[in-house]
Amino acid sequence: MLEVKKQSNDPGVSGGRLSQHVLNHFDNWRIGSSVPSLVASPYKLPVIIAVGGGKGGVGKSVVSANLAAMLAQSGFRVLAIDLDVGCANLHSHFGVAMPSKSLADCLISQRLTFKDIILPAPVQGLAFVAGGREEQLLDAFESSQNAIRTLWEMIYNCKKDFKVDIVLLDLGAGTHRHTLDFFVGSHLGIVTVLPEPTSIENAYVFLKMSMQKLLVNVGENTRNQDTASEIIEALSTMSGGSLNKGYAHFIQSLKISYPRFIHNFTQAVLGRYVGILINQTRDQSDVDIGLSMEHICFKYFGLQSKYLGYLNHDQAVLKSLRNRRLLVADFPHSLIAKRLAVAAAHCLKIMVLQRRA
Amino acid sequence: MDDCHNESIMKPVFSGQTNSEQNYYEVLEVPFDASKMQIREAYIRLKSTYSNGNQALYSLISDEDAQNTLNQLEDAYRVLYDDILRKDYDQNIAGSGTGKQASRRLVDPFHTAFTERESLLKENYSGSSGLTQENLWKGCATTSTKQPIETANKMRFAHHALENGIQEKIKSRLEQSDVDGTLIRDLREIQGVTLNELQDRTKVSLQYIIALENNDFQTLPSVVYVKGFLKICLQYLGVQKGVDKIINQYLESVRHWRESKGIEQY
Repeated sequence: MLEVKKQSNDPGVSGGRLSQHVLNHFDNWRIGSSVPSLVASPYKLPVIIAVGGGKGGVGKSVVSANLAAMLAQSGFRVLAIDLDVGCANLHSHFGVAMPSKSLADCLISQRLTFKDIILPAPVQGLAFVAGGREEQLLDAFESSQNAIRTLWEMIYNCKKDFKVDIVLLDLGAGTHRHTLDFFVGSHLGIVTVLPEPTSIENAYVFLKMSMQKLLVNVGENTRNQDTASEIIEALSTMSGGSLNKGYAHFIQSLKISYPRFIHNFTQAVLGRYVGILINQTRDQSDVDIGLSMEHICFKYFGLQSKYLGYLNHDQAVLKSLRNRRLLVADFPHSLIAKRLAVAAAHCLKIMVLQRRA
Repeated sequence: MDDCHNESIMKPVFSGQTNSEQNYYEVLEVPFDASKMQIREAYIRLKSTYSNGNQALYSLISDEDAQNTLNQLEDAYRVLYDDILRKDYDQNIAGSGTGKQASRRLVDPFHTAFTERESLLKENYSGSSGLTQENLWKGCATTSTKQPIETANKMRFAHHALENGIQEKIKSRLEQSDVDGTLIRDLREIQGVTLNELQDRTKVSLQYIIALENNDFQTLPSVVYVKGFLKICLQYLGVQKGVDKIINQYLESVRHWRESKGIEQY
């Protein structure tokens, strides 16, 4: 906390870094984002990266924690937020004991401000917000839109208030409404996948659901809820199994019926990227799955997909967790740390962020 | 509402068309001016994506659909990887009203300059190698009807070997008599394939082809090699059935000759 405060007062880093992607695609992104009324200017908006991917145990938290550390090492101010409402354990990956202050203190009991719950992580330039008190948080997210709205407001204001360049959201498993909300609201949604059929299937279902959520968002933001629900209904009855029956083709075919809506939706898709990260690869064929998935995501879903890289299966992950230290800090020369650096570089490239000199 | 129909906005996200409407460049996802290397890389990448049992297709795309896509890929690759077929194809799609290629060249001045220079260079080179511009055009005119000579996965045949009349002649010749070198010579002469062509396409040396045809067993190398020579020659000459039988009979006579001369079998 102190560290963050100190740095935010440092005149040397004032202004922060601007992502060309966020600037250029601000309007596109805004059409599909959640609660767009809260954000007015692209210059005060941090880059939002969400790590999701459907299945549990595919390494979302490992990736979030270490990717955040790698981005911070590239010279950015990064804030990682644990949004895994089911089971929050991001602090363990940072090697920090269960913190006393968590998101719930701010969102539910409101006894602390957002500034108070930002905790220092063991890497320079990186801070995080812990999750916790799962059932209350889940209730709050599911019962009303208020908690989510407040949280979005905090995320949007991160840059203005704390000069945070990148906000990294660690999402939970499954396809809860709020999980999809955060995934769709991000600039770059990273899908973590294991090279096994169940995980891949889950990832595709996750992408399907997030596309539906994007349709809902576009509908709400352009006051076309009816059109959105009509399209979603048609989509859910549509049978898959073929590229010609894919979402991309289907949505394209609706262009004649709803030209305005589909135009807006296409804009919204252009404003965000889907990153694919293959975890626990053991051989070359596992690595190649990522390339294939990138292609399929583009062909079937029509999403802008990018293969961010792969993380090899490594004992270092388990060891660092047992040592209670951050993976990239504990084993900085391991292969997996290098792969994470590559993935972070890809993220920066997609978001057109330049490394600090 | 006008901007809704702006193709340039829609283009990068949704490929938009059904697969049957895609041209070969779109199938392989390469630009119109892609080099052969790029085309080959794209082909290999996409082929591995859609090949059988790729996990990335799981639950999304059926085997049948993947197979269709694979077939399209093969077609696209066969045409685009062949310079002559590709040129022919380019002219086709430029003329058929899609006009994308033509318009692109108009838009980008560097592109025009470069391709023009390239084609000039090609003409210069082709002149020296005996392949004049005129020949190139002739090639174009016949490409649409002729069987592709060289594709990635198919074995090579002599030019006319698969035509019906020739096949019948081959069949009747095969039924005629015992197997020896004259069979190969006859098959070759039926199709008008010269010794040099046979050597060129099968990579069997001229010396051995002559020896095979004249039953000159003295010159032939060991049996294993002869077996390989026979196989590739017969295949090239369009023999589709009973290749193994012919080879065995021929090898039998080689062994017989060796025994009679007291040469050790190996």
